[in-house]
Amino acid sequence: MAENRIILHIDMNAFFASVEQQSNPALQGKPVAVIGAAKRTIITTCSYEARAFGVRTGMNSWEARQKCPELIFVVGNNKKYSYTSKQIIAIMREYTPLVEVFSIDEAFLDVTGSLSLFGSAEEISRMIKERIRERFGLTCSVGIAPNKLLAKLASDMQKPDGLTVIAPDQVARVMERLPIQQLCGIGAKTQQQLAAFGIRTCGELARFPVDILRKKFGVTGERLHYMGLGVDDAPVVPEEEAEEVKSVGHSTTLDADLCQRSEILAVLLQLSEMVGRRARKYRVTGKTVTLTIRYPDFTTFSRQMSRAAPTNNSDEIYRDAVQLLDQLELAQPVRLLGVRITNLTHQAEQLPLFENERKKALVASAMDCLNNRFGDFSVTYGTLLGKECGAKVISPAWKPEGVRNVNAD
Amino acid sequence: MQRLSDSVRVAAIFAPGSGIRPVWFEWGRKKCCVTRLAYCWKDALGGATRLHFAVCDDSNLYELMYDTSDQNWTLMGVEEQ
Repeated sequence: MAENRIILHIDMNAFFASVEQQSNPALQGKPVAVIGAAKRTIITTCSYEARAFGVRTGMNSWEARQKCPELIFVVGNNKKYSYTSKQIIAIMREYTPLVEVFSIDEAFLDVTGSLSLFGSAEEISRMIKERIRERFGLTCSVGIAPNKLLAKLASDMQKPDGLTVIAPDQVARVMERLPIQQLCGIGAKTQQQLAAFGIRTCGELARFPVDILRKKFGVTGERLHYMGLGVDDAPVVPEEEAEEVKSVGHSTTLDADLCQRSEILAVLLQLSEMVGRRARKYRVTGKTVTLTIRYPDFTTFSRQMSRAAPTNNSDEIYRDAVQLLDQLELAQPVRLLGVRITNLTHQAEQLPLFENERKKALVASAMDCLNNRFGDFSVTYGTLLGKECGAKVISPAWKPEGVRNVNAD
Repeated sequence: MQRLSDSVRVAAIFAPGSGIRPVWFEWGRKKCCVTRLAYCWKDALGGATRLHFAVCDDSNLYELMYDTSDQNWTLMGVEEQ
């Protein structure tokens, strides 16, 4: 790991909402909330004007409307955000090849080697900000620091449109009084556990005996100690060097709670086809199939089963999901359904031995070809005819490239 | 935005290196002059690349779509301001 690294964290401000405001000038300066295409979805992103009223990501529309009666709801457009994100990442890649796409609206850049070409990190940040603003009219916040942990912290310090530098000699001072929950990677549960030790700030975390942290959190204990010190050795990993994915999955919040088995099966078939298709596209097969269910009271649970042989056949994934469903006694109607394959084998396709299996693989391949040419779900199962498939808004955690989990919420 | 899928005639500038810029379009009997190109993006439907343009005239916002596979223009939506 190079010493004196210079890492940028670029975070697009209210990304989906800002794109919508740019696309529709009448929305500029107004409280806007981006929601999914389904009747019942949560707010994916809201504009800063809406945030001023207390509207937040994750609220349902009723709650948001209570906070801000003038709130304008806009149905999100996945393709528009995905295209914009890819273009912005392309701009970043002109300044360094070391770009790690963290989510659709966030990326880390290691610019240590680019300084001799483009000037200081602040200059590079300003150039990137300017180009994004010129090209799309969008703003972003940039954090500059010696590592990813601090760069992410820095980009959060001034929003929107900020540029914050944490220089190496400022790290100890910044960390001393910083509440631990402001560090990326410390969630509510860890925060609670640390509070039980009387740890509330990063300074306290850094001074706390590392042995006790290790005993309580295992390997993570040591990492927590270093986080308290503002130390993070994690490299910026570009997409092409990223580890192979570990799962392929889709989930969807339903327009209305479902209790009819036939309706649940139709959604499972749609999700299985989406999972199978993406797995085939990236030539992965999964040995474990997982079914996720959420009830209206937000109780969420998963059931999984391992198969004799890995698969990426939609029909087989569907059958396993149905088998998992049949082992359950649903206590309430269903609000959300998810299907996922894990335990993946990469690049391991082989022609099936038996004729029936070969036929299935050929049918799947033919369907994929047609859908690739004419659009998703142009050819599909009879039971899905007339149903609107795969039109929900993407989660901001989605990454615009590669085989990634997509939560259709 | 009210979603539509109407074929329209569009006058556009195709200039090398600067992308495509719709100038005016006919929607029914109405001629709409594009006063502002608010946003543009690209997507694909199957193998067809489609260019989307959010454009304004003096009163409304429109979404025009140019399908590069058949070179047809479609008015995808309109929002009266």
